[in-house]
Amino acid sequence: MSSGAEKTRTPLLMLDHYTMHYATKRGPVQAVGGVTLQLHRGQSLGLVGESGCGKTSVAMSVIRLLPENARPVAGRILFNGIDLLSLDDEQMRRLRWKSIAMVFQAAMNSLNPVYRVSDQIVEAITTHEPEVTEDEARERVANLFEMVGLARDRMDRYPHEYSGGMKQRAVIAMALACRPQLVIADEPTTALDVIVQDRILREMDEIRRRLHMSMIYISHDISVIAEVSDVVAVMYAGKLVEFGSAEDIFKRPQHPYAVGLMAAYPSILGERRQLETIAGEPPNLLDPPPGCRFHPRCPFATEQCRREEPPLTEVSPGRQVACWHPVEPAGRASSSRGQYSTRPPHAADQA
Amino acid sequence: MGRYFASRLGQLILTLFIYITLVYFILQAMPGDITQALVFNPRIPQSARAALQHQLGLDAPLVVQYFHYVRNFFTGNLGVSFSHYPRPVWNILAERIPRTLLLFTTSTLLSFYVGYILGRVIAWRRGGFVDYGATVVGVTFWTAFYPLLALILIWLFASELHWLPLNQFISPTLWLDAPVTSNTIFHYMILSLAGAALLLALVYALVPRWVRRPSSRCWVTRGAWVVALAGLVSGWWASGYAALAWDIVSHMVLPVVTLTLISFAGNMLLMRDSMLETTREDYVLAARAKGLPDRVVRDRHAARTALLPVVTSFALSLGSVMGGGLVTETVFSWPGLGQILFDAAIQADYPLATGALAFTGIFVLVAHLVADVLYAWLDPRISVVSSESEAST
Amino acid sequence: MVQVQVQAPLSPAPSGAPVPAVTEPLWKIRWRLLVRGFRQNWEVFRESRIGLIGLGIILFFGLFGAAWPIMMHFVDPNIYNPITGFDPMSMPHPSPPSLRHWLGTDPIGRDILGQLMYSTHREFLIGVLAALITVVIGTLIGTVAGYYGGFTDTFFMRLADIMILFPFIPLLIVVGSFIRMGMFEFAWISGVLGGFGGITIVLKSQALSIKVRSYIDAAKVAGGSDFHIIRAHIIPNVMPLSFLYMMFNVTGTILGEATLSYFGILNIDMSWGMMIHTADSAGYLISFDQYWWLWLPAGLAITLFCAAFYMVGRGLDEVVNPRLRKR
Repeated sequence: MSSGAEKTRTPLLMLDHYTMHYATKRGPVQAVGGVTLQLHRGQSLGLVGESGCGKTSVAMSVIRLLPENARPVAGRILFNGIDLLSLDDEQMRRLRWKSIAMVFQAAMNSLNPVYRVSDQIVEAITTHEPEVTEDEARERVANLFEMVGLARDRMDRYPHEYSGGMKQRAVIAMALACRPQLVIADEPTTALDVIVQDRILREMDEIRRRLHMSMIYISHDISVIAEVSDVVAVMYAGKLVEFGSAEDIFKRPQHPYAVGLMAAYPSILGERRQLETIAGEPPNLLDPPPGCRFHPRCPFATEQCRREEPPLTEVSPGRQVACWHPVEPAGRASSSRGQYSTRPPHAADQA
Repeated sequence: MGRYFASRLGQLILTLFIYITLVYFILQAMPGDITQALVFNPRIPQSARAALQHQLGLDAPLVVQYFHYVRNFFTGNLGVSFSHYPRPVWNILAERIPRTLLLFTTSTLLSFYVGYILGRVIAWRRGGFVDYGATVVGVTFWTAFYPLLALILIWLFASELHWLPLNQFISPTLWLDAPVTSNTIFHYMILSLAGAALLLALVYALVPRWVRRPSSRCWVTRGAWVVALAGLVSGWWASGYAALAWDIVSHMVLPVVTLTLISFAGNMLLMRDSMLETTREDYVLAARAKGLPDRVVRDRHAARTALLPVVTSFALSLGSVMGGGLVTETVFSWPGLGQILFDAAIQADYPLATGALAFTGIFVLVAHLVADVLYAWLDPRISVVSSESEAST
Repeated sequence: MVQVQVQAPLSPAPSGAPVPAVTEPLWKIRWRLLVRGFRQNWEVFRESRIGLIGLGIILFFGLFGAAWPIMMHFVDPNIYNPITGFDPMSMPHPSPPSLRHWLGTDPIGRDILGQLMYSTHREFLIGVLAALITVVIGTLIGTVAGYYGGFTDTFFMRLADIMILFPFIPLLIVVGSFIRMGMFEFAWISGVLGGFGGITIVLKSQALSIKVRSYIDAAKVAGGSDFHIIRAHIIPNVMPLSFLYMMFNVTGTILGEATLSYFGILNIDMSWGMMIHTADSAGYLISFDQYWWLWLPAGLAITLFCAAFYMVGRGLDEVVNPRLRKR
């Protein structure tokens, strides 16, 4: 979907072999292992994977809000060509929200219960734009409220006076307050019911196009974000295993894990079918398996997979897969589906 | 909010009634007749004893006596003190209560503020040396034997360093040829303090409406503090009684410091624990993601919500705070409610002891009401919560 | 916050596997569960440095108090008895610390160290007795109010509201000056007054949260009587919290005792507060630094002892209240 002209420019966000560990008592947890990906201006990226696969760690690394025990080990995170990891705290603070905003996983709880919603958004605006008076900032909040589909006169209410969907919209309005270039939405709609989920996502996508922002959607459910993402990156156990346009990955996944992931969620548009899950558990990242991290659960694993780690290679233009034996595009999901044993559906979304 | 306040006020009156009943029956359970103490007291004429017996209706059944007592109490008739005969109890208490009020309010505000500030700092640097050090110091003060702490402070600052006067309320030599009594000065002090506090409260309430640029608000509030303090100082200076007022203030310093020391630690430790919970909340993470400066995240987001449980448990600890205050008063010979209670108890002055004990309770209850209203003001959810709980009961 | 879940690979529970028959006697299983629970709690408690320091101080005081009866076998009771002793050899009294009296003597010639040691076991007795009474009453009321709800609940909760606000120390000063209040009277009065106070509110809400769990329903369906359910299911579950409050109560009681003793209101032959009272009433506290041995050991003992129980309480708080734990 992204035009060829855009690709030649410097990407808005680029992760370059970014590796991050969490220091624990039992040793380093290798949460993110050498992730490389690019996001262009105006593009939206879907980051998909099971819980604990490192997608939230990637998001938090970009906005640099990792817990204290997180240790970026190697690689760079370039935002507009600036390495975010090299900025000092004050520089990073000024960048947050002004350039990179976030809609949190638990959007419900990201509003402080003791302040009016309007005040919490005004606070973000006046922090980054001290020349703005409160009246101007409030006017902007009112406009944002209308943009996300909330009544203007609700802005001076407290969070507990909002419903779940309204809080979600308010949080989105808050993320847009400073017109950021990039918005990261970490599981933005998981707490909502499916109808509201879909509507809010579509509205977000519309706003993104209108404001020409970039967006990263993070979800464990690929069907939720496939429609609103231009490109999709699939992560497994801290590794990027497949990258490509949303349509390609959704319709013709090539990494066996991506194939399994497609099969694990119902498609709103696709045909009715038996849901399948991938056998086994994600590996313990304290001691990840050698070779391909997916091999213990992979139906196609060979001796090579057990020994050597597959590099992320371009299989077709704009399409990268890290697998020794990618599923042939022609074979598609249907042929491989039978390889997965049927398991109770909760096995995949544990942890 | 109005309904909340009304229901709280209703509860307060009921609680007060039960408290007074308890005080009455506890004192009734003491051995001997109340007027027996009078027989052996040469300072009290027997006619007074007879009058008192008649007033209290001691020959009547206990229930009747109790109703007399309650009626007298609510009509302000607390009887006549034995040990200060013939001063009515009410007269003595009216003199003492403002002194305790000022001491209690000052030290409570100070200890709460200090505890709040320190608690949020040590929670923000959890696990470091500051955290452990502050916790140990805090626990030490919290569990310190406060009469001894008071004595140590008196010895250090009054006897050794001579920075502050020793004990009591005033230095009598200074007041020998003063044209006014210490009580008059003291009442004007309370009035001027209340005026300054009112001014500050008004400024804080009106600033968000007047000043539309948030970054310049703190300058306005700081200016208000300067004006209020300068007004107080210059006002007293101009009145010509500054030296006398200063005498009372300097006598207040040590008791206030002692009371602050023994109670700030509890607030500090509570604040720390409460804050450790709120720092994990998503809205604190969101505040940080918004690019707010670290101090703003800490003070406006983490600490502000962490304050709520601290206010609650502070309201619940008022009884023991008051107890500590009365003991400290006694050690410092500060002529307030605590000292009069202690003296009345030692001298078996039943009416005065009952009155002082009852007013101690009233004091605590009113402070509790204030804390309740403060809490409702701090937590916007409270009106919803109270209407929910009313609906469920 | 980003949470990294480090999961040990769980072996999926085979749903069809036969449950092994229980052959062990019930008490053995219960005992093992108890030991295991204790060990787990100890592991958490051990993490808390503050709690360990407190426990260490309590142990020290325990040994210190236990050493007194043994000591008395080796010294002349006429000189070293903490109440009736008098040392004619080290005049004038109070005499400063010497080899003969390690912590000096008090104004009437009694050995300070002996008094300190002798008082220790009484402080333990008062503190633990009062706290025990408080906790027993509080646990009973809390669980019953939580379990039955209704009028019982409302009544005791309103009562607790009042008791919380009760200024105990002034009340005890008044009561103590009118009647003769000894060590045990003080312990049970403050224990009972505390028992109807705030502890019932905390334990009631804990009992409420346990009451709604499914095993309580299971016990009811199985025909367990109310008494049985309270005794066997609810009380064991509120016990850790009761124990925590017991620690805080010991602190409160000892401080109260010391304060009242200091004012000379309690009728106790010897206690730490009494030692300071003796020094104060004889006028030696005015020259503080000169006669430091009269107040410093006793004052330090009170503060340390109270701080120790408070610190253990804080350590236990991290066991009972997982939100405070470090990640």
